[in-house]
This record gives sequence, C-alpha cells and structure tokens, in this order.
Amino acid sequence: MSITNMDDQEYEGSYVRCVLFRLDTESYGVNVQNVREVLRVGEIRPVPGAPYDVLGVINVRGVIVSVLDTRQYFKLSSSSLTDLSRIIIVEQQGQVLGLLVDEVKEVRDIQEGRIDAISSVGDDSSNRMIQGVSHSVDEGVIIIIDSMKFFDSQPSGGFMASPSVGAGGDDDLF
Amino acid sequence: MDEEILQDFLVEAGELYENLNEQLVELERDPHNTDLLNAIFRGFHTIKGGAGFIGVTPLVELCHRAENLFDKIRNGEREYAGGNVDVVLQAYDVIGRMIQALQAGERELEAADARLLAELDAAVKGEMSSSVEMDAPVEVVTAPAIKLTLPEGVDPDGEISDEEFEALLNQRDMLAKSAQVTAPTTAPESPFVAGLDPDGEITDEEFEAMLAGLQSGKSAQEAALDAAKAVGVLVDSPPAPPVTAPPVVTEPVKSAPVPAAKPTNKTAVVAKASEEAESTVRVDTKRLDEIMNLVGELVLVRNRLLNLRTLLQNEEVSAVVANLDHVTMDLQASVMKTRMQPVKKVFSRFPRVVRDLARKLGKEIELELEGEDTDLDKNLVEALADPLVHLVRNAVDHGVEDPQTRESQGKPRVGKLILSAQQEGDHILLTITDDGKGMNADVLRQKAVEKGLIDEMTAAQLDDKAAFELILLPGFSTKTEISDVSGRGVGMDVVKSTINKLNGSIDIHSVLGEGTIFNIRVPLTLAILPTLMVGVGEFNYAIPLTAVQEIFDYDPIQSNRIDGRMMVRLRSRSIPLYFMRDWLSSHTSHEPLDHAKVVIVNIGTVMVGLIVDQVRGQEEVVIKPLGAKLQGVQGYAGATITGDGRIALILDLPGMMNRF
Repeated sequence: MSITNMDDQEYEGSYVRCVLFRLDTESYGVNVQNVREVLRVGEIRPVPGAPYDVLGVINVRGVIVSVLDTRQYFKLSSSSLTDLSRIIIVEQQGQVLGLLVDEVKEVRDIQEGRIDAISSVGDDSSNRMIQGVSHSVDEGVIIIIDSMKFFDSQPSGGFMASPSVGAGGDDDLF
Repeated sequence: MDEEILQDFLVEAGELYENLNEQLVELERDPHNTDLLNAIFRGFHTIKGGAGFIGVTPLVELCHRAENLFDKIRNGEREYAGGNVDVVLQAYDVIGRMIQALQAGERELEAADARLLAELDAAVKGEMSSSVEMDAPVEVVTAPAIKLTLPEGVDPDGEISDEEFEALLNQRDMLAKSAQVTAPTTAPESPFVAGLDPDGEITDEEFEAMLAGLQSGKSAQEAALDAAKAVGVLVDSPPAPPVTAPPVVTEPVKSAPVPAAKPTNKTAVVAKASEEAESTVRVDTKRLDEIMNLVGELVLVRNRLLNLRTLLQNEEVSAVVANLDHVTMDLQASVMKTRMQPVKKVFSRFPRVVRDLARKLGKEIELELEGEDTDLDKNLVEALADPLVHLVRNAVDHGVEDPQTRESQGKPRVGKLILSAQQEGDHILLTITDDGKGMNADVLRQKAVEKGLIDEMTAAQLDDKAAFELILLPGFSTKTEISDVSGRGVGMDVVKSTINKLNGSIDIHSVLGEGTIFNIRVPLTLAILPTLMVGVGEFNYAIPLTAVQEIFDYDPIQSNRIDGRMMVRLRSRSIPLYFMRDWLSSHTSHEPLDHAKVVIVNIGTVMVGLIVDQVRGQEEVVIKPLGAKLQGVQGYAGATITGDGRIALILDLPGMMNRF
C-alpha cells in the first residue's frame, strides 16, 4: 500500500491519515490511529443468538474478536466474500472489533480542512457513523467514518430486520 | 498524598494485615511465644510507620496504641488474655476497615471510635484485665504526635550527611526534652541503661534503629526507643519500661560520636526482610493472563508442526519438533504454576471466624487446618472464600452442639472442626468435617415438604443422601429463628451456585449424632475447563464436563411426545429432550438424525437431555471471553480455540435454558 498525498500541493493545513476501503462501489476512510491491523478473511465462526450485525467471531492470535457486517451500517445488502474481502481490526480502549469490508485500498493522507460535514438528517445509523466526506480526483467521494461508533451502536432497521431466533441470518456468507 | 507511595503502602499493609490475622490467632494458643509477639509488634509498627509517612492519622493512632500494648505484652508486663484479646481484635478489625477504605479510594478517614482508643489505652495501662501487674506501676505516656521535620533539600531515602544528621539529632533532643516534662520523673532507671557507657561508641544496632526512626519520620521517643530495644536485645537484660527510656537514652546518644560511614552490618531482622523481598516479584495477573494466552497459541502452533512432522517424514525435523513439544509442555505447566496460590490464603481467616462465632454462641470449638499448602488458581482461591466461610459458620452454628449437650452425650466437651484441602488428580478436594449432631434426614424431608419445595411423594422417595442435599435448595433453612449467624434461608443455595459456577461440585455425608462432612470438589484452575466437545451442524460446542451425566445413542422410538414436549425414559425417570440443532443451527431442517447422541446434563437441580449430532470427546479448553458486542449474549460461557485452530463456543447451560 502506498501513501499518497492529495493532488493539491498548495494545501498547508493538517492531514488525517486514513485507511481507505471499499463497500460495494463506495469509498470509505477510517482514521489509521484506530486501526490495529488488516486481516484476510479466514473462517468466521457464527454465534447463534448474537446481535444481527455481528457476523461471528474470529481467532486473532489467540484472542476472540467479533466481526461486524459493516455493510449493514450503510444500508447495503450483504454480499458474498471474495478474494479482496478483508477484515479491518479497529480498537478502542483495549477493546477490538473486526469490520468486514469488500476491499482495502490504500493508506492516504486526507486534508482535514477539506472534510465536509454532512447535514445529518434523522438518527440514521449510517449518519451516526459518518464524520464527513472528502472529495478526491481519483476516488471521487470518500466517506470518512468514525470507527469508535461501531462499539456502541447498532444499525437501524436496514435490510436485516430481526432474524428468527437462533438463526444467524447470514447464511449466504457460509 | 503521593498516590504511588500510597499504593505501595496499601500492598504492604494488606500483606501485614493478613499475616497479623494468622499470628493473632496463633498467639491465643501460645500467648508467651516471644517470636510471635515480636512479629505482631513489628507488624503494627510497620503499618504505623507507613501510615505516618503518608499522613493517615487515624490509622497511626490506632496502630500506635496496638503497638504499645504489644510492647507491654512482649515485655511480660501484660498478658494476652481476656479483655486484652478482645480489644486487640477489635482494633485489628478497624485497621482492616481503614486499609480497605483507603484501597477503595477514600482519602479522608474518620478517626477510630474514641471508646476503642480509650479501651486500648486502658489495656496498655493494665486496667483492662486481670493480667499480671508490674511491681512498680508505670505511668504510661502516649507519645505526643511530634514529628521530626527533615531539613529542606534532604531526601528521606537518600544518604544523610554528618551535618544533617547532627542537626536532626539536636532537633530530636529538643523534642525529647519537651517530652520529658510529661514523663514521670520518678521513673525507675532501667538496668541496662545504667550499664551503658555514656561516652562509649554507639553500636551499629543503635545507630540503625535511630536512622530508621528518623527516616520514617517518627517521633523522637520512638527513635530512641528502637535504639533502646536494640540494645535490650543485644545485652539480653531484663526489659525496661519503654516509656521511661527516651530521656535517659538520649544522653549517651547525644554525646556519642556519630559514625561517619553508614553502618554495614544490619540487624538480623532487616537482613532477613530484604532477602525475602529480593526472591519475589509482584506481577499483575493481567500480564500472567497474556502469557497464558501466548502459550496457548504456542501450543496450537506446535500441534500444527506435529501434524506436519508426520507428513514430512524428515528425521531432523522430527527431532526438533519433538524437542519443541517437550519444551512447550513444560512451559505451559510453569505458566500455570505462576498463577497458583496456596489455599492457606483462604484458610487463614477461619481460626478467627470460628473463634468469634464460638464465643458468641457459647460453644467450645477447636479448628484444625490440613493441607494449607495445597496450591490452586488465584481466582479460585478468591472465589472460594465466601462459600467456605458460609459452610464453616454453618458448621459452628448448626453442627457443633454446646458443651453441656456434648458432655451429656458422652462426647468431648470441645467440638472439633476440620478444614482440609488436598489435590485429587486435576481437582482440589476441600472438606469441612465437624463432630457435631449431624443431620436428620427425616426432619429435612418434612421441612422441605412444609416449605413447599417438594411434594410428599418425592420426599418419601429420596434416600438419605439426597435428603441432605435438600439444604442446598433455595429457601431452605431448618432454623426456626432468624439469627445473624445463619438461618435466613439464603446461603446454602448461594454456596451451591457459587461452587457450580466454578465448575465444582458439593456433596454431603452425615451421620446423626456423629457429625457432618461437606466435600467440595473444584478444578485446579479456572483458566482450563474440562469439557465435552460436541458437534452440532458443522460447528463444535463445548459443554462443561461437570454438568455431563451420561451419553447414549438417540433412538426416536424410545422417546415420546408428552404434552408437546419430547421426553425420554431413563431408568424410570422422564427426562425432557432438546434438539441442539433447533437452538444452534441456522438450518432448522430435521434431517434424519442418524448416529445422533443424547447427552444427559444437570442444569441446577433438573436433568435434561441434549440431542447433538456428534460427540467428539473430552477436551481441556482454555476459556476466552467472546469479543466486543457479544458479552451480553446469553447461553455462552466464552469461546475457545480447538487443536485445529478453529473456534468452539463454550455453552453456559443455565443461560441456554433461559434463552429457549
């Protein structure tokens, strides 16, 4: 992964270093400070009865880590895993979570001053996750998300309404 | 208050406090044991020193008085008996509460109860009990809280220069003189002081004691007192009334040339203490857990290598892998050992518990502790404390009879209670044995029916052993009156559930008129759980082995539907059956369950049959917490990683039952 600066050379403000990833066709960025590592997707062990945004758990060198279906937070339908799928491990105060994403692209410095806040409409989960958006020449719109929000919120409504008891509801993944 | 120093103090004080507990009880059995008396004196003294340093005055005041009293006792002026014992134990309890309050984050402590302080003072003066009095009554002067202030820029822990030392000496002399006014002028001169050459060289011991006194910021009298004591030990002369010592001893010290170099030979006590300190290191248990975790990972890597070895068939690789195999095993065992603590940590509180309770109930009971050095996991040691206290209190309250009854039945007047621990394979067996009145199975059956816990039919069917176990049911208590000792009907069921939570078991033997035995079995460690690995769908689940009663083949013909529920008959009992697939698999299709097995498990007091696809066998697993966002999910005790690197969920059966 290469670290590239934005094309605008005149910019003199501070930068936020972000891990860029893809969900469906959209680009997202998450502050690199909150990212511990990026893993290939191995076996995700479903936990029957778990909240429906939790896909299951994985073994990260002996530590059990929950993996979230990140797509659900942004109202995207679940998709099957591909070779490009990755799990981004984010951490907050010693707690860790895995975010399943469709692809991890690069680490990029984003001009902090050029992140535009988006007008929040309602109490939508996708809105709560989003810190702002940044525009780039090559990637188009990059949605900057606050990974910390994943620790204490659940996707609202969305495609996966409450699944039947005991069923993981994510059968298409396994 | 410096937080770091305070934390250090709390750790040290906590340890001293625990030691004092044992020592005080021991002392009651052997009230003239000089070593013990000295140890107790030092214990209070050290807590006082530390408390003074961080400025916790209430604690200082209490320890100071306790220390004074023990000084008298060890000098033979007072007896450790009767009222003195009570007041000391009370003071001990209050000290414990103060340390706890400090640990809980309180910084401003209330002064100890004035009555307790007065009683301690009275005890020191000898007005407390019929203890042996000295011929010459000695007026006790409680040291006024005078503190030496170190000249500015002096590091209390660092080396001290001659000038500074001289300055401190002068300062102290001044204080000593002011204290002299309050001291009795007619105080008999102590013999050893008279024998001391005022112009002679000061001994290392005296100097060391003075230095220690000065450094910990103690009052002038005590510094001199310590010096006097050091000399007292040295010349082995009859002990002098300590309060009279300061003014007299001050003289030789003042005129003595101050040794320029720091004395090299320390007193035996100091040397011993530092030796002990160097052989141990305090480690946060979290760090040990991390190491455990990593070792677990290493074991997995080794397992994979072992698999590869068989594939590769390379001799050199085989040899190396075999070596790694051994080292890993040893490493695992060693790491486990670091978490172990002797069961003594729990046991040490019981002499006191039994003593207090027996006194209160007017019983005479001798407590015997066995196998105190048996090691078990640190978490387990802590978790076992409460249930054991409850069982011991019960044995004292309900088990052992009062002396009159015992004598009338031809038993020895003094009841006997034995608390023992021993290792039994991968379990620890704890037994609480009393030679009291035993339990009457008929009375228990009747009580249980009266309380509506079981019906008469069931009661009649229970054998004696099962009847004894009725006392473990919630809401069962045979005491008709509620006492603050036991008999509130809560407790025994809590004991049982606590033991169950630790994956342990409890069983009861009792013979009417001869006594009762409680056997508690718990695993050696909480970190490793023996489980039965079962397969449901494509995934593995671990059932705690302690719950598993038996396993047999599932035969649809033998099970029948009663009242909409699947039941199976097992030795004339009907047991409800649950299909684990319904609970745990996303595919709810009922494919023909060939080779399915029924696992009969105990959940609390009920038996149920779980139908699983496969039984994979017994496996010892390391319990790991489920990840974030899954902590609240009912039905799982955690997860573990199996030999092939996959994750298996550990079932929490009561939680599972609640959920479905």
